[in-house]
Amino acid sequence: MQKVIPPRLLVPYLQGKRTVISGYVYRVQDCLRLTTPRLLYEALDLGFEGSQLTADVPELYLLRWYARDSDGYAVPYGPHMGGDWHDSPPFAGNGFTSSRGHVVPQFHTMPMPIPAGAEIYRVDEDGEHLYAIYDGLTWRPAR
Amino acid sequence: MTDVEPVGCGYVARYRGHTHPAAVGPDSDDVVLFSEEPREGFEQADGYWRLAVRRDELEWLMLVRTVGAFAGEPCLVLDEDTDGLHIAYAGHNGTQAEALGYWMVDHGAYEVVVPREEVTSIRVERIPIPCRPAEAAGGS
Repeated sequence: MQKVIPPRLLVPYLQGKRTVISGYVYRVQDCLRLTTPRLLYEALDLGFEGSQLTADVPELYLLRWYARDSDGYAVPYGPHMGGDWHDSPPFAGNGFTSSRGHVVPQFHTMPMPIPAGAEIYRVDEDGEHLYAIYDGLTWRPAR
Repeated sequence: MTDVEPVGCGYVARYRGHTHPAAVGPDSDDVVLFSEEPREGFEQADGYWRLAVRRDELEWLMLVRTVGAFAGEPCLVLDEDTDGLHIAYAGHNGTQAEALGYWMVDHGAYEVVVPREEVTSIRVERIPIPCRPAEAAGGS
């Protein structure tokens, strides 16, 4: 699974002050083509109100982990799909992000502890660079 | 050092007669135990000790989290600080969350810090996570 870290949360994560993952998350296999910050921004609805990210952000940070059987991921279906999820735009409510250029299934998690072995990647125009690894309590810089 | 007590939302595990704060991952069967003091087999990290075990080596494993209600809607308590309780909206309506005073701290995640007395019906949930295949299969 993966999620783009909002810039304001990067330091709290790395300092161990934010210990949960929450909100919309995506499967890594559905994001293989999203190799640049611009593609991630466009495909994952990162222009939501209050977002500090823009389409031309030079780099962003991705949190990545393996789904565990104790995790609870929901598909946030809106009323037109028989669900009860609502959110501010961009929100499609059809099980996918609102992007027309990319088809990305969307999932949601309530706050859950960051899995041990989770990784943070820095993504720029050149691709992904492993940045830090979580030991279950502390983030360590990748070597 | 980092506070290893499970505050708000975290795993706790029982291993060889001791109860430890824990993390699960990278796979579902992998559990990392933490201790504030040295224990046999644990390796030292920055101010704490850790040991990676398999889930079926544990006596038990549970997810501990604190739930409550704010403005009549369910919430999760993430942390307590001097300003009050840091809570997360636990419903399915982001528009409603914003109307209640939450703000979107992460995409799809609504949170706010409120005075403690404004959060009602607080209770700690302990959700058992099966440690052995037989338990996961309902004992059959």
